[in-house]
Amino acid sequence: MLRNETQDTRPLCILVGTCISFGIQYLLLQSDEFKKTYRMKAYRTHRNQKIMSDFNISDEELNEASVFIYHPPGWADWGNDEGYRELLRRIPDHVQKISYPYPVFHALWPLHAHEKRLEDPSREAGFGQSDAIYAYGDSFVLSQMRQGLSTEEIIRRYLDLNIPDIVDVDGILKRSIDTQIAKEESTDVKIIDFVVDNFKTKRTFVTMNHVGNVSLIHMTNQMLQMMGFAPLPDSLHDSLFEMIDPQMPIHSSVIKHFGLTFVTPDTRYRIDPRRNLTFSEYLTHYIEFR
Amino acid sequence: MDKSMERENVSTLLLEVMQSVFFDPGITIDDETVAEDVNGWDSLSHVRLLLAIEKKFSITIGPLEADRLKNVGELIDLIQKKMAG
Repeated sequence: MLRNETQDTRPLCILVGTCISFGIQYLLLQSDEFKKTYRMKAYRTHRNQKIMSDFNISDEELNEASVFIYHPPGWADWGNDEGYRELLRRIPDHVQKISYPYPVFHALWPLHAHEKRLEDPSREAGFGQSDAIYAYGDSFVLSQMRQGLSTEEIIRRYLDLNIPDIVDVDGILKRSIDTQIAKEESTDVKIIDFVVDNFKTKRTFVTMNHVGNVSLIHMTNQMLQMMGFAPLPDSLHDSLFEMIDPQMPIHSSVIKHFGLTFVTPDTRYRIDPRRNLTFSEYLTHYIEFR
Repeated sequence: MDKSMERENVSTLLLEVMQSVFFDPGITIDDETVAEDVNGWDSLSHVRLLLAIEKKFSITIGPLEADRLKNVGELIDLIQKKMAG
C-alpha cells in the first residue's frame, strides 16, 4: 500500500443537486464544525444530464448517511421524476433530510430564449471556451439575425432598445417571485425573501437559474443552522470569486428599470473561465457564436 | 373574450402570442408541438409566454399550473378550461 489509509469514521452527508450544489458543497466545507462532523459525498447534475440515470445511490450508502441534502422532486427536469421520488422514499428515518430550492429568477434577463445553434453537431467550442453561456439565448438578437442584419446593426439596435417597452418586466418579476414562493412551500431552506430584499443591490443571481455567492451563502447558512452549526463568517463573501459561472450580462435598460446598483452598463461579466466581457462585447461574441 | 371560444380559435390566437413573444413569425404549432419544436421556447422562457397568454386570453395561470404541460395541445386545453372558468 503506497499511502496510509485510515478509516474515516465521520458520518456521511449526501448532497444531491443541480450545478448550484457545487457552491453549496464548497461552502459547507468552509464550516469547521461541519467538516469535523461529516464527510461529504456529492451527486450533481449538469446541463443535459438526467439525475436518475447518472445517480446510483445504494441503500448501503443511504444507511451510512446522517444528513441528506436535496432538491424536492419536480423542481427541475430530472428525467425520471418517479425514480427520484423512489430514491427519496428509500432514505432511512434516522437520516436528517434538508430540502433546498433550485431558484429561478427571470426578471433580469427577460428576453431569454432557447438557443438552437447549440444543437448543431458540427459545432465545436474553441479552446478554453464554454458552451454554457450560450445556453442563454436572446429572443431579440435571434430575431434580428433571422432578418439577416449585420452584427454591428444588431448591436446598435439592441443597445438602443428599452426592453421594458416591449416586455412586461415587472410582470416577469412578479411571476418569478410568485413561482418561487409557491415552490418554496416544499423546501426547508428558503431564498425568495432574501432575493426580493437584495436583488437590486447584490448579485443574487448570475444567470436566471444560477444563484450568486450571496444567495449560496444564505442557503448554506440555513443548512448549517439546521444541523446545529454556526453560520459562515461574514468575511467569507469578500474572499470569494463568484463560484458559479457563466455570469449572464444584464441589458442597460433592465439595470435602469430596476435601479440595480451592483452593475453598470460597463460591468464585465465572467462568461467563461477565459472571457470577462461587457454587455456589448458579449453581444458580439454571442451573435458570432464564438 | 368569448368564454366558449372554439379550440381552433384558441390555437390561432396562441400561435399569434408565440410568434410575438419569440419575435418569430415563422413559428407553427399543432397539438403535438413541444417546446423543443419552437424557436426560443424552453422552460426558462416559459414565464414570458405565460404572461402574454394571460394578457391575450384574460385569464390567470397559477405559478405552478403550467409546469407539467406536455405539449401545445395541453396548453390549449388549459386555456380553454380557464376561459370557461
